[in-house]
Amino acid sequence: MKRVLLMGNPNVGKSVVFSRLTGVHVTSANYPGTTVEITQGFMTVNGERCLLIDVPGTYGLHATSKAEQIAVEMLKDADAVINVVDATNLERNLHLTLHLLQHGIPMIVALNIWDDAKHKGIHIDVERLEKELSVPVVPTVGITGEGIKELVERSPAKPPAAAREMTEEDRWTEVGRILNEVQSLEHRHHTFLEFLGDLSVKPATGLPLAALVLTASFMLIRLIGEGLIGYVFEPIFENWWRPVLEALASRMEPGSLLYTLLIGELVNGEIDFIQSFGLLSTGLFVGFGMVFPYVFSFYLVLSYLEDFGYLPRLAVLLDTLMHRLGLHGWAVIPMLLGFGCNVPGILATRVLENRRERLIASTLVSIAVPCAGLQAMMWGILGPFGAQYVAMVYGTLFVVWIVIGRILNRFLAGGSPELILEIPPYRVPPFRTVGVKLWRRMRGYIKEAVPFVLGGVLVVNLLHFLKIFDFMAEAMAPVFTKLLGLPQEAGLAILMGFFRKDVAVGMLGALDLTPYQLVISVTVLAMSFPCVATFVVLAREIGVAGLMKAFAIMLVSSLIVGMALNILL
Amino acid sequence: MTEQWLALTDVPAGETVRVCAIEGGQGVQGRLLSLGIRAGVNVTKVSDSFARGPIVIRHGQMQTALGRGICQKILVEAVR
Repeated sequence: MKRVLLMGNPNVGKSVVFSRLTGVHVTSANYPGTTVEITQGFMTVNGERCLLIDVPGTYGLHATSKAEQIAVEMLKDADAVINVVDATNLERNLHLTLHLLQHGIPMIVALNIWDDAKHKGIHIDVERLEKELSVPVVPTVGITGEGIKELVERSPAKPPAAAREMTEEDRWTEVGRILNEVQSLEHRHHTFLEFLGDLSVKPATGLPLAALVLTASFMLIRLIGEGLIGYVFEPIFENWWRPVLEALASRMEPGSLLYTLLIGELVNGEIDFIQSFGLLSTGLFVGFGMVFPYVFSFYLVLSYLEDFGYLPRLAVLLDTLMHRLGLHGWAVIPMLLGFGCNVPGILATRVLENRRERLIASTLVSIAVPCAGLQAMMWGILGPFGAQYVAMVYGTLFVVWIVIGRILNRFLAGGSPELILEIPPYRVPPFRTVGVKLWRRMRGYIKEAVPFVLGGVLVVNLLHFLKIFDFMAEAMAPVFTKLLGLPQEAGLAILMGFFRKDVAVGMLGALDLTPYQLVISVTVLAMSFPCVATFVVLAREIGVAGLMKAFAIMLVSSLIVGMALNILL
Repeated sequence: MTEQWLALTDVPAGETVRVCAIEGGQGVQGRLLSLGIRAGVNVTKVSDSFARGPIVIRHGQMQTALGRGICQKILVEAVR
C-alpha cells in the first residue's frame, strides 16, 4: 500500500486536516507538538487506498529533536507528502517546504488556516506560489473542511523536478525571495486578541491574568461538575435507578453472593449509593454519578484553553518555577493533563527534550497530581466536612510536588534545557472543534475507565466475600494503625487504589473516618502508588528501571508525608 | 562595530533590533535557525525577562519564547 506522509510545522492544524482526510478523529490543540504519538489512517486517492501517516510537527529536517528524527526516518520510505502550511505564517512554513522539495517525492501543499490569513489582511497569490514551488498548492480551512476535496483530487503521482541543493542560509534567502513575489500584507491595527496575547506574556499583567484564568477555570470546573451532579446525575440515580434497583433487590436473597456483588450491603435498611458498594449501586454511581461529571467539566475547560492558545503563555510565565524542579515551562502540559488522568499526562512528557526531564515530569505527575476521578470523589466525600479539608490535601500535594521536584533536580545528573517555544496567536475555537475533542475524550473515559471502576468494585466485593481482606488487613495493620493513625481497613482502601483511585476513595467513604483521618488517607492514597493504567504507561515511557525508582520514591514519600500529617493534625 | 552589539537581554521591551550574531553551540544555533531566527533578521522584543524567566520576541508573523540564557547569546544592534 502507498504511504502518504502528512507533514508540516507544529501547530498548523495538521491533526485537523488529518481527521478531515481520514475521518478518524485525532487530538489537536492550539499548541506546538500535540501529536506525541504517531497516528495513521486510511484515505483514497484516485481510487487507490493509501495509508496516511500524521508525522509529528517539525520546523526542519535536521534531526535535532526526537520529532525531527522520526520525520527524517519516515521520509525514507514515503511515496508522497502532503505538506500542511500555515497561511498566516508563510515565511517559517515555506522553509520546511523547500527542504521537503529536495527529497524528490511527489508532493502537494495545503495552504491551511486560509480564512484567518484573509482576516489578517495577508494576501497570497496561490498560482504564483505554485509556479515558484512547482507543486500543486491548495488553500484549505481544516476546521470547516474547505479545500480538502481538491487537495485529494490534485494529489500528484509524479515527483517535482529535482530542486538544487541548498544550505540552510540559502533556503531562508530563497524563502524571502518567494515571499516578495507572492505575498502582500495589508497594514492594519492590532486586534483585541493580539493585544490580549501580549498582555498575557508580560509579567506585570500576565501573572495576575494567569492567577485569574486558573482560579476561574477551577471554579468553572467545580460549578459545572457540581451542577451536573446535583441537577442531572443524582436525580437520575435517585428517581429512576433506585426503584429499578429496589425491585431487583427484592427478588434476591439478602447476603447471597449475587446480592453482595450487585447490590452490596444496605445502610439503615436502604441502598446507599456511596456506602453499599455493589456493582449496580456504588459501581455505577461512582463511574457515572460522581466522576463522569467532573471528567466532563475538566476536559471541557481544558480543551477550550488548549484551543484558545493559552497554555504556551502559561508555560512562559511558569518557566522559572519549573526550572527549579529540573524542568522547563513546557512541562506544564503534562502536569495539567495529569489533572484529568495521569495516563495522558505521562504520555505528554514526550514533548520534553530529554530522558531526565521525562523521568522527573512522569514521577511528579504520578505522585503529586491527583486525577479527576480521585478529585471528584475527594470533593464528594471530604467536601461535606468543609472545603478546608480538601484544601489541606491539595496544599500537601503541592508542597510534595515542589519538594520532590527539587530533590530530583538536585540528585539526577544533568540540567534542564532552556525554553524555545513558539507562542501561537490566540484563536477563538469554533464550538465544533472543542465539542469533537471533548466527545473523543469522554468516549475514552467510558471505554477505558468505567470498566476499571466496575472491575475494582467487583474485586473489592470478592475479596471481602472470600475473607481475604480480613487476612490482608491483619498483616498490614501495624503500618496503618501505628504510623498513620488509621483503622486497618483504610489500608485496604489504599491498596485498592492500584485498581482505581476513585473506587478507593469510595471505600474510605464507607469507613466512618474523622475528617483528619480522611485527609491523611486520601493524601497517602494519592501519592502511594499509581493505578494500574498509570503503572503500565510509566513502565512503557520511562522503562522498568525508571518505574522502580519512581515507585520507591512514591512509597517512601507517601509514608513520610502520611506520618507527618498524622503528627501535625 | 562589535562594540555596538548588545545581548538581546539588554534591549528594552518594545524595541525592534537586528540580529548580528548568535554565539553558542550548533544545537542552539540549529534550533533557532529552523525557527528563522538568524543573523540579519529583525526581531521585536515583546516582553522582558521576569525573575530570570524567558523573553518573548516577535519575528515575521510569529512569536517565540526563548530562555534567558539563549537570549544572552543572541547579539543584536539597533535598527537605523
